[in-house]
Formats: sequence, C-alpha cells, structure tokens
Amino acid sequence: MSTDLEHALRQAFQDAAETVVPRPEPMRRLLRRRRRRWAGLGAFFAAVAVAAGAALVPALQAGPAQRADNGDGYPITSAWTRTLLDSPARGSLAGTPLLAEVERGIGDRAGGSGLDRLKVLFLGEVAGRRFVAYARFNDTRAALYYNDTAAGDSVAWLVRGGYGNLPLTPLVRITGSTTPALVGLVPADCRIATSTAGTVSGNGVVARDWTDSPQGSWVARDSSQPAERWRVTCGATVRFEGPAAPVDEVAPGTDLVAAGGLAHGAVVQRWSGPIDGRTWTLTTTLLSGGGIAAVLSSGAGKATVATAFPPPVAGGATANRDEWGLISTAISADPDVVAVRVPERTGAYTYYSDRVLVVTTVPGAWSVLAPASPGAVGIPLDNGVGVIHVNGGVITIRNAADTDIGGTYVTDPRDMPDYLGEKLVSDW
Amino acid sequence: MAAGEFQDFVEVRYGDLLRTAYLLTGSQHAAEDLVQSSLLRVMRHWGRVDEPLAYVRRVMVNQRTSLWRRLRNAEVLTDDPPDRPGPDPTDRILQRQSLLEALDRIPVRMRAVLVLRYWEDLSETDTAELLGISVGSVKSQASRGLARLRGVLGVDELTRRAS
Repeated sequence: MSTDLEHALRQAFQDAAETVVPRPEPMRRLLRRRRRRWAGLGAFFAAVAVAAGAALVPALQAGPAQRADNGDGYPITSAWTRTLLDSPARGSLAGTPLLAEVERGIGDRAGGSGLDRLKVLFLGEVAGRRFVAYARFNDTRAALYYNDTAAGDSVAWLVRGGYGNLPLTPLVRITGSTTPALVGLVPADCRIATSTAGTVSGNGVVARDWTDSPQGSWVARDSSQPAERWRVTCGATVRFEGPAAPVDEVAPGTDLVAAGGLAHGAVVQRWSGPIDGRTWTLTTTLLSGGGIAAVLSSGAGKATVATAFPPPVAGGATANRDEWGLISTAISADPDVVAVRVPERTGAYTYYSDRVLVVTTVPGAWSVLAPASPGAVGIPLDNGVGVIHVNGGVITIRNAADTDIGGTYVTDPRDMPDYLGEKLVSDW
Repeated sequence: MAAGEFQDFVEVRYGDLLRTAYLLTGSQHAAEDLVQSSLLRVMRHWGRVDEPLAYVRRVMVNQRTSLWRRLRNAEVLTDDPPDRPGPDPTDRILQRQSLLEALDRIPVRMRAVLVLRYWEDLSETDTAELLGISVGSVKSQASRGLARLRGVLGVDELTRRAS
C-alpha cells in the first residue's frame, strides 16, 4: 500500500506542478525585483542596480529558450535531419536500461502540438553530469530538447528541465547548464573528426591533421568552447567544418584563436588606432604549427564576429547589437605581414568589408600593392600601416625603390564565409 | 563559478525551481516570491557555490520552513502577475485543489519532506542532509505525511490518479 501511495503522490505532484509554466525572461524579472529591493536602501544602491541590470539586458535578449514540451517545432529542411532521427541513441548510457527509463519519462510528459513521435538522441555522462537530448517530431516538423543534471539525480528530474523547442539540425550541439561541457552528434552514418592545430602556407591555406572521434558519430568535451575545429564527413562529402562551438557572439576575454582550433603562443598587441570613427586593436599570435593569427577588434565588451563577406538582406538579424564591438580575423604565413579585413555591421549582422588593414614590420616597408582588375592598386604605408581595398589574392609590400620585400594572402570574398582564414562549411 | 553562469542557471532552472516552490507553498504568487528571494540570496554567494541546484533547493526549503519568514510573508504582494497556468482540464482542477489544501493542513517541515522525497526524488539521506534532520526523522515524517494525505484524499483517490 505504501508503494502505491508513494507512486500516487508522485503523480499528484506531477499533475499539480505541471500547471505552472514560467513566463519568459526570469533573469530580467529577478533583476527588476533586486532593483526594487535596493531602491529602499537609497539612491546610490538603486543606481548601481540599474546599471547592473542594464548591462545584462542585451545578453538576456539572446537567452536560452524556456523549457516546456509544448512547442510546435520547426520545419525539417534537410534529409540529414531525418537520418539523424533514424539513428540510434548515442552516448555512454545509451546502451543501458536507463535509456528505456528516460524514454518512458519523456513519454509521460505532454508533447508539443502535433509532434507525436519521440526520439532520444543522446544519453550519457560528460564532465560528471548526466545529459539527455531528444527530439519530438512528426513527418514535417521537429523540435530539440536537452537537459543535464547531476549524475545521481533521478530520471524524472533529468527529463523535466532544460532547454526546449529548439530547431533540430543534423549536427546537434548541446552544452552544460552549470558545468562547462559540449556534446556534438551527427547521423550515425557520418563521422566527426577533430583538430587542434594547423600550419599556414603562403597561399593562405591552413593544413591540419585530423583525429577521428573514437565514438565515430559523436564527441563530448568538458569545455563549452573547446579549442578545436570539427569536421563532419558523410560518405565522401564534408557536410560540416568549423569551430567546435559557434564563434559569432563572444564575451570579453574569449580566446578566439583557440576557439578556431588553432593552438598558439602568447598574444601580442601589434597596432591600435582609428578607422571610420571606431578605435581598433590588432593582436597577433604565433601558431604552434607555423604562421600567425590576427584578431582585429573594436570595443572592450561583448562583440560580434565577422565570418561572411556580403551583407545579408535587410531584416535577417534584428537583435540590437549597436553597443557591441566588432571583430574580424585572419591568418598569415609571414609573421611580419598581417592583412585583416575591417568588419562592418548592418543591424545585428557583422561581415567582412572589402577594405583590408595592412600592418607590417618588414624593414623599409613603403607601400602596399593589391591585385585589381585590371592590374593592381597601391597605397603608401604610414609606419607600416595602411587600409586598402582588396577583393582577394596576394598583397605585396614594397620599399621606396618599388622592390617587393614581403606579402601575404588575402582570402577572396568568393571563398567566404571563413574564420581565421578557414572556410566554414555547412552543407546539409 | 563564473557570474555569467548564474544567468544561465536561472534561465534553465527557473521553471523547475518554480514548480518545486509551488508544491512547497501552494500558491503561484508565493512560489514566485520564494524562488526569487532564494535566487537573490544565492546570487550573492554564487562564486562559492559548488552544486548550485542543491544549494538553491536548500535555501528555498530553509526559507519556507523559517517561522519568521512565514509570519512576515503571510500575504505576498507583487506587481508581477503570476506565471501563466498551463493546460488545466476541468477535471484536474478539483484534484489539484484537494491536494494543495491537504498539503496546507500538514506541518511545513513534513510538507517539505514529502516534496523533496516524492517530487524532487531525493533519497532519504539527501533529504535529511538538506533539512538538517536525521534519516529516521525523514522516514517518520514521510510516513506520517503520506498517512495524512491518504486520510484527506483517500487511498482510492490516489490510487485512481496513479492508474
């Protein structure tokens, strides 16, 4: 009788608690309450609270979705998404009886409107936490849900919280909620390889050694932004290649070169100055495999990172990023010649412009010459610094006698998008 | 833990904490108040918190079982509307109301034991540690709490829900 009673009480609690659905933006409401509380303590504390709240609001606008299994998902736009849904569950716990328990636990929850099928994609322990990722779907739409709990927490807790109703893509990447961790998985027929270092050649190509994931179609890391580049191959076709974690909006202090999967040495500031009313800083670092990486940034706070060349159509990205900094990246085989595109922004979309900042420490550098159609164009350098319009190709540093004394490769816009000189592939 | 992780924690866990608080308090207003006040307290010590979820649970339960707090917050006033209710078929409204009224009639610490054991699925040992009482006390309070609910709702009613 006691067991029946316990089970019945659990169900009664479930019935009662599931009527409570939090409104969006709990952090914003929490800060508002804090401000109200502090207001009673005096104007000084109130002013501090307002400032703290204001600083966090932009981040909240991009906050995670609220967890509830009541979304109606997103259209399935790739056959690879269906292949992912047909794949077996992956993860260190996927082959254990816990999988069936988790499936039952999720199945007991109310599903999204019209998403009548369920698939556990991942179940495993990473960085001491237990992770689950699953999809609710039908013939045309799907939604991703995921969560993590302490390893010892119950299944009921695991399937109850977390993120939900997110777009389901063939490459699923989930992160830990309280502990740094990243899990990536792809359709079972595909393979993930990882790389942590590369060598830059004179024509701007980064050569890498790739290591196949021991698990084949999934990887797990104890960092939310591991210093890796990932490549996903399905059959003989590379379907994805890029940083392990997306590098598009970054916090101050983020190691952007490591995030691009390039091991490197100390970071050195090479130049700082104004371009078009913004103050920019150029830093460089020697890559462990040879060559140099450069990061051009404005501002000291959060920043958006350029990866593509032309601006998208208006309205594609509407979030307010006016106060954010801008970042662009480049690589060079010659440590004495750095050429990085100046980024621009339209709305929330940040992209490479056709202007390139050239900074060289080659002795006697007098001018820089860039290929043009027809011929070439050149500008004088001011203490080794200049901004020149370049479509793509090799730019040449010349001395006062018009002798070539150095150069580097600038990626052609037609090869964009790229990050740190490496192409970003997403071909699903 | 980094300060930025606090925001992530709030965004991800708020709903779960709110549901637990709802079972502890029986009111969505009071639940919101309990969660927010607990999170604000945790926020100040975030850098020293190793297991944030367990820590917030502890703070919530301690605040709920604090006599002073219960007297002070006999009625919660807020300019925030309550979190919106989810789907709630008519035949479940009375069931939920019966449960909450039954929970209101039992001692607050006994209610906390029931919520931690049968909603949070904490073990007897973890429940005892969180509440700062012995495992034996957890067992006895859980047993008596179940009996009290059975007396109010009836075994048949609970059994029917379980089926």
